[in-house]
Amino acid sequence: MEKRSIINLVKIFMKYKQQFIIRVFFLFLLSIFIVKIYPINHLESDRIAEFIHIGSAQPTYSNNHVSYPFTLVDGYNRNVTFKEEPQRIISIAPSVTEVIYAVGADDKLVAVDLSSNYPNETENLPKIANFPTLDVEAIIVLNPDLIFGAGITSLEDVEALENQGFSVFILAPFNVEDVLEDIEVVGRITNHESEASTLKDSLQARINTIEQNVTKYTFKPKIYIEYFSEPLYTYGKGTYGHDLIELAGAINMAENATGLYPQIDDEFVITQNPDIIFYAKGSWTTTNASTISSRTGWNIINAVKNGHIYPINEDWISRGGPRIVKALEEIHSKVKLVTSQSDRDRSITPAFEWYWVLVMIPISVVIGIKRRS
Amino acid sequence: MVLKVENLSFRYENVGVLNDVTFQAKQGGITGIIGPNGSGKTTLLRCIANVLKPNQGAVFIDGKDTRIFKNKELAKVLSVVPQLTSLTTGFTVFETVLLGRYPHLGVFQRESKKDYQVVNSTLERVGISHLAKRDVDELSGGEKQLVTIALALAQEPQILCLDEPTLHLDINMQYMIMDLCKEISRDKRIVVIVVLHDLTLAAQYCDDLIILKNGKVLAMGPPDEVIVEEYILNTYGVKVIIGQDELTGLKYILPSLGSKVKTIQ
Amino acid sequence: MSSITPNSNDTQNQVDVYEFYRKKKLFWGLILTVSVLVLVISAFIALMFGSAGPIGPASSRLLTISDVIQQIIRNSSQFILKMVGYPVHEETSIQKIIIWDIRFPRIIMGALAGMALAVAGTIMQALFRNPMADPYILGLASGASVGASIAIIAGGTIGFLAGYILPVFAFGGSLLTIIIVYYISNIRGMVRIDTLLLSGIAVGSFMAAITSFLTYISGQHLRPIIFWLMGGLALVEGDWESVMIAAMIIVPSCVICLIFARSLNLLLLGEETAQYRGLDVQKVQKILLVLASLITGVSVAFTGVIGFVGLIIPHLIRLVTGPDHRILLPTSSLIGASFLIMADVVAKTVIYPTELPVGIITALCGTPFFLYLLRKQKKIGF
Repeated sequence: MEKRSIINLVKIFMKYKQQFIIRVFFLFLLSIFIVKIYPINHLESDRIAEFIHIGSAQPTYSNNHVSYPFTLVDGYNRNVTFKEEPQRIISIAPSVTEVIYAVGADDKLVAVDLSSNYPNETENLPKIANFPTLDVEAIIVLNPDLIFGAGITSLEDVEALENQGFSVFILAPFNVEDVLEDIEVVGRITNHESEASTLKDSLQARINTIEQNVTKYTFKPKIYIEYFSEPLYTYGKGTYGHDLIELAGAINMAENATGLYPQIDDEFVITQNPDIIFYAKGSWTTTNASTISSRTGWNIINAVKNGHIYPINEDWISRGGPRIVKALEEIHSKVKLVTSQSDRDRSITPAFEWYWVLVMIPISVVIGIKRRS
Repeated sequence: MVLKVENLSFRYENVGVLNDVTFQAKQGGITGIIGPNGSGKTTLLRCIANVLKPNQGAVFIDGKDTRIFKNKELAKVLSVVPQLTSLTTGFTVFETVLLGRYPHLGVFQRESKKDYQVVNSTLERVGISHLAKRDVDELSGGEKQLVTIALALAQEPQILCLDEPTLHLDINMQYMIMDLCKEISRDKRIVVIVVLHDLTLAAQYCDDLIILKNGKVLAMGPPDEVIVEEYILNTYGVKVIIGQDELTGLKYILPSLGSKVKTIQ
Repeated sequence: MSSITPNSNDTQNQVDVYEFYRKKKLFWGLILTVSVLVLVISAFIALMFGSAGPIGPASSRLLTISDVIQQIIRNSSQFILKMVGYPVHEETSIQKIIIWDIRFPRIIMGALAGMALAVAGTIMQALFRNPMADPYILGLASGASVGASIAIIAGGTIGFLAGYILPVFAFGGSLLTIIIVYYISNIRGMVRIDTLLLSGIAVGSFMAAITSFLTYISGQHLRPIIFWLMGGLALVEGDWESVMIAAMIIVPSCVICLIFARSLNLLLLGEETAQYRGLDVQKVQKILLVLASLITGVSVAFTGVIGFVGLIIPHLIRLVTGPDHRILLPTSSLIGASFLIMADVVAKTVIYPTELPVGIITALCGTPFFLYLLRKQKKIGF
């Protein structure tokens, strides 16, 4: 390959014509395969990995009456044995705090973490710092007999607590279904099984109602949930936000985006043309419906044209607690509204992705020649 | 062209460095400034160049106070070769010396043919034409010193000040640079002021000498009157032997063997 | 000592020198022409990429290449007409919105930020005579991060300033930093450049510590703060106003910096030597520091912290043009602009539809190339 003249290339080509063409074709297919398939594969493996790491808590056996002792597998796949009903409980995750209150076990709760802000009764409890490192000393002082953590609790913190002889149980629900199951688990552990199953059933019933409604809709609207505005971030696959959209019978505009919280640009939103826009309402949020609709070029988006811009409580969609069903109902109510209206205009047609062909042909040819010589 | 320094005093903070220095340097000759380390030689040069503002007194060029000069105007008249610094610009020698044309160029003015000619003749004058296209960073210490002198000369000054131009250089370069100073002062009829630490060089090359001690002028005049054992002992605290070469008649200064170095008050 | 004896080929040498500089001027013209072309072409390519096509990994093809060209010509001519006060009928098609309102501001902001960072980097490297100097060396980035973090944590409670809370706070943060740095190094009216460097690093670390502290205690604001810190050009999509503000500060500042190109050349000689050449070193240093900090602060305010452009581009261009700032500054600014535009295209498309922070791309593309050149040249700097 010292003299890389055109004549040389032609000579090489004539000599190995058949092999060359086969190789180029093969490499071409391979490169397209890699480029197009890899990100999806990558995403899938991420998802699987997350299942393994923070899989949902599964009861190993079930009884009508809670009879101690029993052993459960928690969200980090650890076996935790409960000898008797826990009397002093600490929650170090806001989602679990909400579950404990919901099943009525809050009379046993002695402390919660700093970000637990719901329900309002949490204000009266001692607060424990849990970010970025857990205040183990404060926990020792309170001497709990059970500590509930969540997927945000690091393994180091769990180990640190176990080293102090504390019993730790992690709830790490991956989707809405897991959240409901975890409510039952908490009920069982805290001897509030009947309340928990009543709560679960009512939540399940609300979800079922939505699921039944969803089948009747003529189309699936596209939804964009804005997590942050400068720059734009949204909820990707693997977040509750994405699950809720799907459960509500809609399509997440960013379903193909890589990452849990993918960054996107204005043009993507405009091109995707979502039918409903939600903006997560957290304490940092400065946006509202009018600032969103006044963004340049957004006036041609269906959601903006038809005024479907709504706030949604960030805590509802980011915490694996009972209020997630509220978020689902909120999203579904807007989906219902949109699907019942007929003022729709979707005009975006997919086209052949000739761009990749243009990129791949020269690369394949170059690789083919290089391998040949 | 005459450079006059009148009653010049300068203090850093509260420490007096120069105290009532008065002298005069004429064109066509070399005025040498000698004195031990810390006697204020470099400070004096900086005051002359208007880089440091004296607390008292003033410097006059042909009767004009230097304080009324703008930076560029002064640089057209007076140029200083600072002590050998690590000259690394990434430029070639020619380009580096061309930077010396700065005071003669307006903000948006490009170098004209005249500027190139000045640089060329300066390089020739200093004897480094053959280095013109070499990178400054690659040169030896002596060659860099010559480039710095060329840089100062490219300003076409009428007063040239050199601060220890022979420092850290081999003996051939020392004499070569002093010869150059002599030639420049004679050919171009400019005022040359040299700060020197080598007394032999000072005795051999300077037309006038000034001895500084603790910021004061101890003595000045022709080398024969200034380079005497008494003054040297007084300023440097060293007993010396002043000899004369029989062939050339040039003076040389040697520390006298066995003499003890006195501490200076 | 053969090297100091007068050369017999002096006349020969002189002719050579003239020829050399005639060629050099031609070379400068060529470099500038190529740089302008590179910038125009990168801007044009960047206009083609996006969710709506015509080029890119997106599946929708709302636009064709002819749409893009048509929109460029129509809107830029309308823009000029509007500037001279001629009434223009403005249509609002999706093509116009995507090309002119979404992509154009982003590309122009990319060009402005790239230009600002490259110019500021070149100036800082010359002022500090330090090849490691970059636009953020005086702690501007850390200062901006503090401002932005405060804005995010205070968030909804700040009612005024509307959409400009983040850029205003970020710019305020960097302004405050440079004032502190300058105040510390100003000893009796003299600002020494080495003191400046040290206090810049110290104040920068201090500001970085405050940012760390703020993110540490921010709890649920953590993610938004990190989002902003990662920066990127998506912030200015559809925001002609920000682009205009940035342009009005960055372009004139860069032009003023060009006026000081010869002074920067002199500063390469060292402060003292430059001073004896008639340069008011203190004044020039002050003006250039203010200008470089200003354009860096503006770019950080609108695009977040984008690393490596201000460090690598000046070095790369210096390898081609040599150290003369009269060619180095304009070329750096043009190539810096092109580089950031192209890096942004990659950031937009590489894992579409997710955007990567452009700083990741500039570092990923820039660093290996830079290291390769470093090893090959064995000499970077002055």
